[in-house]
Amino acid sequence: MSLFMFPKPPVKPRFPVTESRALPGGSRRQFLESLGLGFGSVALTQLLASEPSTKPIVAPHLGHLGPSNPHFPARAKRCIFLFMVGGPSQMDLFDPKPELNKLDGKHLPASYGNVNSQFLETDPLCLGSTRRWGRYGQCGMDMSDLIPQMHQHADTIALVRSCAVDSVIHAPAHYQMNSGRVLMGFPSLGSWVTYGLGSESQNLPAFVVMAQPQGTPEGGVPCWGSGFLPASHQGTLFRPGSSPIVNLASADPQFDRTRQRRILDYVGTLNRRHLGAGNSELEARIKSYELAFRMQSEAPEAVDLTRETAETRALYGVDNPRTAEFGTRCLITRRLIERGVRFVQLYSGGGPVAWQWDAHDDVNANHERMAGATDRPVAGLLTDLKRRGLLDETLVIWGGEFGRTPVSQKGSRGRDHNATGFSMWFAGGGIKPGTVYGSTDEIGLHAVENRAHINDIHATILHLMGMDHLKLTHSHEGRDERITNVAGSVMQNLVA
Amino acid sequence: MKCFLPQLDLKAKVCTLLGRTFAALWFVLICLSGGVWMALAETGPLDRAIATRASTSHWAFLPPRDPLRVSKSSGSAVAAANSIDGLVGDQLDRLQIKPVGLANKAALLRRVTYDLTGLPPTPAELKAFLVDNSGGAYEKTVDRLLASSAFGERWAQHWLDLAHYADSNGFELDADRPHAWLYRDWVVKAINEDMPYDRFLTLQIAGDEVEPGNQEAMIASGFARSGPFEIVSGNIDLEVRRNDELIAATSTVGSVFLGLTMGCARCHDHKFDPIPTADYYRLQAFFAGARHIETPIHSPEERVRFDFEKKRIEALLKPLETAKAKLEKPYRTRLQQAKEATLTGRERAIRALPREQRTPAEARLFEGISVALNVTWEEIAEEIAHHPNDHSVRESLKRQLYELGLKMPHPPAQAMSMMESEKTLPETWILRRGDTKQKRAVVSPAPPSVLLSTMGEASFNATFSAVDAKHSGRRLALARWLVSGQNPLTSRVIVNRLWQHHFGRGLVATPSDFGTKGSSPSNPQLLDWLACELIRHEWKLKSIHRLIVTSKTYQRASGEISRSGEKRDPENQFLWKMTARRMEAEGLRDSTLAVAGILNPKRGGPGVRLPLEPEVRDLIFTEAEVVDLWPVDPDLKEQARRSIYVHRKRNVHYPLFDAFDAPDMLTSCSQRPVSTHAPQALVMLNSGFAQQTAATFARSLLDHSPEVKARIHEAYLRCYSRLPTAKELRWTLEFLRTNPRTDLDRWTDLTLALINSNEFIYVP
Repeated sequence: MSLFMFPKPPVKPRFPVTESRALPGGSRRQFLESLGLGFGSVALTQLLASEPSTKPIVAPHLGHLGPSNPHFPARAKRCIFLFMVGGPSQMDLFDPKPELNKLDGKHLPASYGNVNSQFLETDPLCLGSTRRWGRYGQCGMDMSDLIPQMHQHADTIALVRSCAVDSVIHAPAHYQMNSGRVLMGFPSLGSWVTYGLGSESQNLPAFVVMAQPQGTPEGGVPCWGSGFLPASHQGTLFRPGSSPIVNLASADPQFDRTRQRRILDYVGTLNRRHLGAGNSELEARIKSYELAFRMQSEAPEAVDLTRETAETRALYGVDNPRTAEFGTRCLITRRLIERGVRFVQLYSGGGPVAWQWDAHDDVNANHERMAGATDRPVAGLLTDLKRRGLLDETLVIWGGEFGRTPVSQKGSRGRDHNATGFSMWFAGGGIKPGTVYGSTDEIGLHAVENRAHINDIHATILHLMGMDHLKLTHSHEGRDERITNVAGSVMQNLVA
Repeated sequence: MKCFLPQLDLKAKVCTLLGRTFAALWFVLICLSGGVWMALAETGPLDRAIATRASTSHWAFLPPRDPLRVSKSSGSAVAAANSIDGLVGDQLDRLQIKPVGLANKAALLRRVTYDLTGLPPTPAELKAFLVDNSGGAYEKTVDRLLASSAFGERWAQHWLDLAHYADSNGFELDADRPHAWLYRDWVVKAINEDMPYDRFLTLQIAGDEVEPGNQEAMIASGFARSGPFEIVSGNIDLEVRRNDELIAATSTVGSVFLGLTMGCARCHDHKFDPIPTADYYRLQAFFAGARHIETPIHSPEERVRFDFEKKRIEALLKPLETAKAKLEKPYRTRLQQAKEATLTGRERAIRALPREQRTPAEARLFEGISVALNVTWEEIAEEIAHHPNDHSVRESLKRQLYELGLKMPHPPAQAMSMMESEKTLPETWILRRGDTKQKRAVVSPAPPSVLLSTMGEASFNATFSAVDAKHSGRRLALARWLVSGQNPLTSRVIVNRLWQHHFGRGLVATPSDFGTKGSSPSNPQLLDWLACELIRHEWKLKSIHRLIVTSKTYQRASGEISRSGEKRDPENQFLWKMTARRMEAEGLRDSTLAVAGILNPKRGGPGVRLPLEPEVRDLIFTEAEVVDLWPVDPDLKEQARRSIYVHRKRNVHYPLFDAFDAPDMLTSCSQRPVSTHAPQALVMLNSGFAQQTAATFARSLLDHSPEVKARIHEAYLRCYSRLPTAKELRWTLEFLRTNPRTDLDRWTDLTLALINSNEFIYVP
């Protein structure tokens, strides 16, 4: 049996002897985890832990070698989160407000209530939208001219116009959009999903993040952190090129594959000698080296776009300098999804303000650049997923950490941050297509109908992926934590 | 023996059944009494007596009882030389588990050296220990290790995990804390000097009150503000921000010193522990006057020197900045003109209006239009990129500015204190659901009521005596109550933390949760004995370390198996053997540098930035135009400092530390997980750190001896604290002989393999 103790006994061993007998597999669990490359193959640890029970949370897994079963049949097996950093303007993309245009340049009428925003003055002026609008698809969904390629997908997506978070500051809002909390240190959605469902890929991480090459969002690495979940559930940064994962390629090119094979063989010889009989943790380490070796050839293949046709590359805008960067990441996303990656998060925006949707000074100039760089790639991704039959089982999410104010910031052409009413859309994976859910007031400031708080959004995403947000919990410092904290309900009208 | 197992099973079943019934009853009790507390919390008056009605019989809330003084029945406990062994042995006897024998001397030295210092023993230390056959050889070694500065450098990291110390603020700007290292160095020093734990605790909770004006005390008081803290501009709700500061301090103090998850009670009565919401706010009230204050602790001369040097550098920067502005000017003008051309008719009209004719709204729009006309650095950089000559001049100016900027002197030292500075203290309100807008009732400072009930109301003196005009003495009163000796948690919690780091798991497996939902102690008598022993030793932690590591229990072999142990306690909760452990991230890096012979023992000072993989460096967030956000010290010796002295940023993680489960420093970490996954292999095989250190290691082997066998022996001694077996020697010779590459490459391949092997990474 095991020579190694389980590092973090997750529940109180009230009666030590029984408990230890019921937990035969601390290290076995780790062994299983490592079989999934340590990118999180052990899952739904907490099915039985929603009440303070003495039942060991590890036990339900011991039968699994592959990905775990969801709580109920999943509509979506995988998820793509297109994160628009900085806060896209709902009034200029998805939520037309003729009333606002009438108020352009005037003080905000008191009847709309207070605007809570980061930089706004106390008596701000309204700022109308100068975009051209149309209604698209059979459902007649409103979209502006900033996203012409998305018009064809009006009947594909479900638009939620009533989203809300609790902070108007970037970093806390990034954390909340990802983890449900405005604080640092809680597990992100991708971590929870892979914790719950495990990995379908033996050679790639279960949770992949692709950041804007100019830099991470303000919230930084903790945006895709695993918090108190095991570190193997944190997002793995991927980037285009021959070495998509950090340290995948040798720092010194002199260490070629033959040389590395020899070294690994020698390590293997040493390790086998050192191995205690039946020591699963040490066995897992040996396996992890073999997997790392395999990954070095297989991960670059996943990002190799030369295998795609010219037509496909054009579909994503890879051939156009304006859209090439984001298009490349979208196309890699599809390839990763095909290879069993569970959760891919793509950040449009990061680093300098010019590379974020953070339109404080001039909303048109900013959004023309950001939408211009992403509209075709995003639409191309939806088209491609659809025609390959992947969209049905893939949930695609689009949105920022918050939206923007209907008023201008200090009289400029730009808008400040707005957390009380903004738009996101969802596609595929069990979503009711061609739906518009919720609404904001007449100027787009506050959600007034079917408010979709981030806790509700997370509950719905987990629901679509076959998990009950109340049951997907992890005990941490005396508390059963979940992504929805103490709130959240599934938005049933969004579910097909 | 044969009838033992079924009996145990039966007992276990009964226990489980009883346990579940008890849990159910407990739950009902909590729900019922929770309602009462909530009602009280909402309406006040806050009667402490009622809040303590919940179970006061939870083991951790009752004072520790020294088992050796209480009962004379435990025969072997008294007989054994070290009471740890007696108490462990009694339990093993009861469970009919036969412990394994002691580890061999080499393995033991490797274990205790890593455990106490985070480093492997050198071949010389190993030889000296092996030849010393005197009775006290091991004890002498333990004393040497406890006296070495490396001891504090290792054990301080355990403490910094709890404080969630880092060298930056976290959140959006993640700005550096240039003075945070003073606290880190203070912890190292305090541990090395064996500062009594009661003083260690008091200085960190109330340093400014116990020794006003003492610089070290002011540094120590920063404990509760070591975690992340958000600093942004704009419309910030100061009350919310202040509340966040207090939450951080209160929760950290509660979990680290008391082992209670007080934070849960901030929004609602604790679901499982008898901690009503009011108790959380009473604890918070101790900190009501304590604020984040930067106290200068440098001499006037240092200030003068700094100002002088700063001005000197600024004077050098000035002409470069002017040159850059001059170069950019035509581009800026052109871009500005292009922007002006896009102005709408209405915007032009507003701009044309004389100031006095503008309505307030027009005045605002006038300002707003100017904002839209601003030319950003991104636009200039993009525009200049089309003109190669100007572009290269600008890049060179940027580089010169950057390099000069690096020469800016380190700002003169300031303590990051948490201290009182005002006469009047703000009131502490119970907040409904933790919301600062929903104030319910005022509370005054008091320890958790359940503890007052078990310790007696008299244990806490609620009438504080002010230390001086600016110090209310509140936190000092809290500290004194914590270390009063009657406190059932303080001593247990800390000895359990020591035990945890020596054995991989605490006697209480949930080291920051001694509440009812935490683990029960696997050996309650042992925990209590250690707690009493700590107080008998005047809170000196080194004496507890010594007791632990000199026990037979600690010295048992890790590779041996006892049938009865395997059968009845496969997870080794009752310590019938030692459990081998994987090194922590910092220990792995330090040990790798040590075996390569280049670990720099330099102590203290500002954190060192290590080289960072480009994938990580390129993505560091900034909105500014910066040449390099991660200036690495070019001195390779600095890069080989111990990990405790490495600059740790909250939003930028070193892949090596990340892969090997170093905490993210965002929340207090009482126990690091140990995971096994492929990125660990990638970083240890492919990173510049692993490869370059392996090459240095190889070079030192080549220098060590002209003899191939002697080199192999040396390599094994450094990495494994043993010589190779005949078989291993044969394999290694074969591995070297068949390698077609250069001599250095051959030996580098060997050293890289050794630092990747399980025997190196696992401590026996």
